[in-house]
Amino acid sequence: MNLTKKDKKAFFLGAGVFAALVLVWTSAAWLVPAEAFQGEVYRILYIHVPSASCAFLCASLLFGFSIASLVKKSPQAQFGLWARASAEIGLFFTVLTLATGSLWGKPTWGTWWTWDARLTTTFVLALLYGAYLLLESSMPAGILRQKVCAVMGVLIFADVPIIYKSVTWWRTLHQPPTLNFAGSVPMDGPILRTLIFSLVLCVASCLWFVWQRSANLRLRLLFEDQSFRQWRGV
Amino acid sequence: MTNTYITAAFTLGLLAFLGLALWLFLQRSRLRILIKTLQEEEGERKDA
Amino acid sequence: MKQTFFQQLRSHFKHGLSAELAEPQRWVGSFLFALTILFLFAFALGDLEEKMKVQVLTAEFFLCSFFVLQITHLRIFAAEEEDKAVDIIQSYPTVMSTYYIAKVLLAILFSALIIFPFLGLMILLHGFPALTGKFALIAALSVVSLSALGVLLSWMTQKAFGRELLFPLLYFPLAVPVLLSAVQASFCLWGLAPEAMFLKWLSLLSGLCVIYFTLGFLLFDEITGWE
Repeated sequence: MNLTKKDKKAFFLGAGVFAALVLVWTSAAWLVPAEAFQGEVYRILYIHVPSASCAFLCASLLFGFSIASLVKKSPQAQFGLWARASAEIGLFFTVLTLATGSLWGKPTWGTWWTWDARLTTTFVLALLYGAYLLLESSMPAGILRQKVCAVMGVLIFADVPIIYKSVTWWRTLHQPPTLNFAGSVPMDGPILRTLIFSLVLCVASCLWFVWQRSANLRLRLLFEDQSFRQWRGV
Repeated sequence: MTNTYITAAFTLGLLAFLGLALWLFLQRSRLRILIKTLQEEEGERKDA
Repeated sequence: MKQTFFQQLRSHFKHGLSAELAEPQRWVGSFLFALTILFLFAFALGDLEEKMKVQVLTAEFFLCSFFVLQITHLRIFAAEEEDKAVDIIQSYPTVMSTYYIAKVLLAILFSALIIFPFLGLMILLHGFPALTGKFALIAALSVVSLSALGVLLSWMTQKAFGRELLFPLLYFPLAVPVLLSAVQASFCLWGLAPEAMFLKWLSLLSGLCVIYFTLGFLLFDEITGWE
């Protein structure tokens, strides 16, 4: 264990967010009252909805870093690292969304999976993240790789509105959006409060994961660079 | 039966978060050790 | 004398067309693949009830279109790659977007030359009820959006390792929304989905067409000229 003070502070912060998240999820699992129509099984939404939000948030982060890479004529490697970290954490949250969605879907709809518009496009988002990471790892390092991956990041983000709008455009098996910022929210007070806490803490965890993963990628780049210099005798 | 699904979902969520955080932590630790080892070797080489 | 945008576009298109016509085996190969799909489904269809037959034929058409287009787009820059002219083109004082548009037009042209005769054969041999302007519009929009996407991805993966495997892995997820909306719009025509939804699916398909073409046009320049 050879962590610097900065590393320790970062991990303590992460531990704090995670502890708060555990508290909120414990409250969600046992303390918050059951929902009128779905009964107890609705509790899974306290994980499912924030995970889905984080999956889309990562697509937005990926888009932002991709645009930064494209705008700068000679982009620094850090944009590529942040973008890669966003894609990896985005893939993590998308898989978690699909898994928790299946666990919610089985008792609610009677099936683990259905080729509903939103489920299909969320699955496609997972494939897109995987495709991005494959593209990034199959190209030699350099500015071309950053630019090409940045274009891929923009293409992935173009898919996100289609996923979000699919529920409101077409009537499907999936329920309408849980949080509708345009109109009233069809949710009771304690349920809504717990969901918002879970959402905020999940987003905080997501940002922390992206931050730490990109820091690790930067350290690895530093290690590879120093290792190469040593091998070269520079 | 519904409780099984709820338990499975929350367990999955917690383990996933914990697992990812732990992986990041171990990776950071390993990288710091590797970089420190390299820097020490570099120092020894320069002294020599 | 510097050429205008359209002069450059025309020049790229003409050169690309001559290069493609010089090697027709590339396109004949794709057409033979389409015929294989046609025969395979003919063997498998047998005596299906009409409603199911239409669903299967719709799947057959878009499945074949997808794979034919994938093969076509992967090899859209083959002429330049074989002549080792890719780096030379990038060093030309040309607007690379004109090169992109020229390649997309070529991809649309040659894809249409395979897809629409294939559709004609499906109408003749399978009795596919697709002899309507609306279905032709769906097919045309699908070809245009997949061509715009395919040409961009083909250029992006030029320097990647394992390109033959990587390209389909990138192409498939981005093509899914196009296929989904094309199939659903077709179902509205056959009465398998509410007719009122036809315009919504068509608008999504058109939107994807615009998005992919615009992104390709804007971003192609960004990924050229780098090593």
